[in-house]
Amino acid sequence: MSNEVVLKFHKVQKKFGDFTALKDVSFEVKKGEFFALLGPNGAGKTTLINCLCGLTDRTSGEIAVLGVDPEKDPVHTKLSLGIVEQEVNFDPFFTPMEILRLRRGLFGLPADDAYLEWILEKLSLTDKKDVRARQLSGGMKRRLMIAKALAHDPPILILDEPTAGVDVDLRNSLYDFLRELRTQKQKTIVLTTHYLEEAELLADRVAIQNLGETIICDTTKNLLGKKNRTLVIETCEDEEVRVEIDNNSLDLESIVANYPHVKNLRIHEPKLEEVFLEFTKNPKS
Amino acid sequence: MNFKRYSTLAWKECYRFLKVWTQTLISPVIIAVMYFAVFGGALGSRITEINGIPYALFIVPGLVLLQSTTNAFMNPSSSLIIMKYSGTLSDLLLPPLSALEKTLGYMTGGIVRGLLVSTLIFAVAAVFTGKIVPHDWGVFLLMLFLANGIFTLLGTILGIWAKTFDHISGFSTFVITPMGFLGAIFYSLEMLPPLAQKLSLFNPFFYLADGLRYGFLGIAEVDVKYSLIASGVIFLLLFAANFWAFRTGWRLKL
Repeated sequence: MSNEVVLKFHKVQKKFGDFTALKDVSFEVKKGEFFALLGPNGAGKTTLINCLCGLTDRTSGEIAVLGVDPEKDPVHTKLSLGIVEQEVNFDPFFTPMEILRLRRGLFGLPADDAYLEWILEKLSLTDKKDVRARQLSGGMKRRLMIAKALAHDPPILILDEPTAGVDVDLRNSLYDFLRELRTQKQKTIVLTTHYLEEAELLADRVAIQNLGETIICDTTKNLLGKKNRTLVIETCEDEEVRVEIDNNSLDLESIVANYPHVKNLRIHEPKLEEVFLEFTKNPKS
Repeated sequence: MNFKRYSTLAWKECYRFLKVWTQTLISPVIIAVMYFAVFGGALGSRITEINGIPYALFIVPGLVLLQSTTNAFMNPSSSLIIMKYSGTLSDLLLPPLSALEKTLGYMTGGIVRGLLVSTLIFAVAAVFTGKIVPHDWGVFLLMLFLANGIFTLLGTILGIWAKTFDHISGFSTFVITPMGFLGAIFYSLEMLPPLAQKLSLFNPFFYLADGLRYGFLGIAEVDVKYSLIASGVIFLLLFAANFWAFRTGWRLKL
């Protein structure tokens, strides 16, 4: 991962009439990074992606893709971005292979069936490449959305809740594929998701967005460090007591002295979900 | 202007209607055959000639226009409204297509469909009437291009504007069909009362039908240059409207 900034958002605002969907969004994504954008429903994550890729115009603020404003040079920007949209959508007239060929052509790129076959194979869609897209199962349609976003081989891949409705096995194979894209194809990956364990598992850095504002942006490790660990004490009376403990020092003796009949002790490590809930419920934390 | 991007969009628009060719190509031909049978066969025996031309032959250019322009109109309008319903509008907005590439891409798809329908109906008409070679190839081809181009551009702007299928079908039913039937397809202007004759001169379809009739049969009710000028101006205005809509993202962007 380099220090080169490939995506930059600075005080981005978007208003729809009187409603402000994005109030103040500011963060950067570096080249080769796996970045997660988290936030509850209505936080403005999809609106931000729409501003980035030109599906909607921002009201104010700055956006740069590889140093270029998307509104000033949309061709350069669109070639650099692969967007996996939240809604599953595809042209029902065509087969997966036809959809991918058309997609490459619409980006002005020459045919490259070998590359498209590789994507289909990686997403376990090879045997379905020549059937009408409407005949695919829900999980297959989701994977076809990822294939569409990759058809023009963009350096930056934006995935807007890509694993919703995908079963555990396929989700795991998708994670492996995303890791492969990052390590072998040097892609920068930005992920929005409701599965916080997904972000914890994959992301180097996380931004939490709430009510149209970026509340915090930090490495996953630092974010997890913001929440103290919990000591779980099980007593002989089958009671469970939870005591928050400092991440840097643990004076076990003095804590346990208060509980004479201890049966078991364990330490609960903080989860990203807990950090997320703390920040979205109390943004000033 | 990137040729690859334009040609892919044009091909996509053609490939879509070719996949459902019975609906898009055969159906208008069947309808045209019905018109020939009823108007040319049954009524044609009572109306022998108009301006020295057998009635069955007189109605051919108008019938071709009625069917081909309807299909040219439907190609981009249904494509765009389906995209809005299925959420695939982003397939048009995410790739780096310029306004010119989008305008030309949709226009090509509609014109190709319109010209294919025209060719098939002229072929059927040749069987009924025996007339194959147009009177003036230049005017004939130019009028076919302009007529199908105008209705494709109209279909595109309507598709961009529309929010439901009803908007599209309503425009087709309440505007295009009456405009076509009142555009002197089945009759000569001389057969109308003076006021109706004057009103017909404000109907754009009249100039398309009259110009094409000149190109195919060599007869016209107004000088063909007026038909060409009127059609050319409407074409350019609609082209500009399409270009503006795609450039600004009017009713396409969120």
